[in-house]
Amino acid sequence: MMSSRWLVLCSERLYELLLLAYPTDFRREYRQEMLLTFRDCCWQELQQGGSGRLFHFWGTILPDFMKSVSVEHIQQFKNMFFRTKEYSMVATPFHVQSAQLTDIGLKRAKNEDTMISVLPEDSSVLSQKGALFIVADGLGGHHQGEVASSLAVNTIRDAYYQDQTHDIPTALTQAVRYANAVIYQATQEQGKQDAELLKAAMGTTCVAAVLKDHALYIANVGDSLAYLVHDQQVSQLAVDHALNAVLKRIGVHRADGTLNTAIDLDQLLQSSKEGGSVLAWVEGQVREGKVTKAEALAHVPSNIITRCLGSEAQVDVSLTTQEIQSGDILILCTDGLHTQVSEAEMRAIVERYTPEESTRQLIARANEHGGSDNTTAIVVKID
Amino acid sequence: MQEPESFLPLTPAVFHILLALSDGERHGYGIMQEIAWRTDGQVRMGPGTLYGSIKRMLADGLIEELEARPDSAGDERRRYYHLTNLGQRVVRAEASRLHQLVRVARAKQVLQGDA
Repeated sequence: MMSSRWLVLCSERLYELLLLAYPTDFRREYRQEMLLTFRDCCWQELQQGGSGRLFHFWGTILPDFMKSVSVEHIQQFKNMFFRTKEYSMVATPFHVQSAQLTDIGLKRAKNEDTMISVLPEDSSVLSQKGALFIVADGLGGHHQGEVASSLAVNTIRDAYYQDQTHDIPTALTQAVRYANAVIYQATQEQGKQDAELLKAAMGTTCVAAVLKDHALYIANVGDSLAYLVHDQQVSQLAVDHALNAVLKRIGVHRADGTLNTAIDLDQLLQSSKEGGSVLAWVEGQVREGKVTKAEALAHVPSNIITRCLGSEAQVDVSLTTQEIQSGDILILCTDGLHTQVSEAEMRAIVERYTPEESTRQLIARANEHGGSDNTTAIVVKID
Repeated sequence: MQEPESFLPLTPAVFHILLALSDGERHGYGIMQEIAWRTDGQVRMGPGTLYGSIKRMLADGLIEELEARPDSAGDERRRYYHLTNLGQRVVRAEASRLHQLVRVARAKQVLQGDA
């Protein structure tokens, strides 16, 4: 009996070591179950035929191990590089299908966008916290952009699901603020070691959407945006913090993007809540470029954003709440998509195709229109 | 709602797991035992194949993890799985597809004893 116990113990230890070869996520989820099942199998084999049967059992375990380790790594590899997934969401009032895809575009040397779709498999987590979708567009030199966007996405996901409250909008906003603090802190630490890195300080835009019951909660900073297609109409849900969009919103620019000369610019910028960030940029341009305020405001580059995660110790997060209905389609994307593909084109694509095909078509369209930036899209169909 | 036919053909592992769960909830080891028993020991599924398949079947909505453990469950740490409505429709569709194939094999007299 003692030797049987010893044989099972040794087998278990060996199998535990083999489990290290599986991808981390898989191991975290199933390690304990697999060990329990393996132990039960060992005892059964021993009882049925002694140690000979146990060695024979190892003969079936090893091929199973090699095959399944390969399959899990291939799956993980596919998810990393093609980054596209489709899910069913069975524990909610809706059936949800989502797909995500990112592309480097035609002009950039690297992809600094990051995205994630979280549909918790644990139904109690799903019913309490809902599903979470995030897209982030990193900024900064020395590969800092991809570090920032990845840090933002992972921090928001962890902070949001670790929060135990039932207040979804507050938990989501806090998670985004926390990601800002984490990136800001990381930048400051890097700056202490290497002043060059501080100059190329990292930051990232971010749009995060929680889908829970009949509501959609969107938190965003920067110019990564969310759109909802409802009843053949498309509407922008997130608040665009691109400088051009802010100027239109507060009335400095007309709808066609030209400077509104019929107003007192200084008064408008000082009286508007968002005017402060615009003023800071304008004054910087005046100092550097020897232009007047009006000249600077008349020719605003399209890639300037008034806020991002990681550049300041505190950040203002925009929050939008929207009721959803069966048939609605949510799109999250970086500016690589919404600056190249019109809202009408986006609507036509997502209404026609499955989420997976929609993400491919959206990115193909952005590349047809120049592909000047990395492009990322998450499409969620709610039925 | 996704059509069951869009999942077909199933891999042998997924079909065996769905069949094992078709008459009630089971934990992982229970599924392995049921498969071995129903196939006279011909099919021996290892834990790697089993839990890899379970992971994908959960994501596809074919099976669900039970929130509460069955009364007879001795070990609190074990996870129990059961078929969803979609899983039931998928296993029926696959069985029907295979049944059609067997009918063709019978008609062509390729099954032993049909000659």
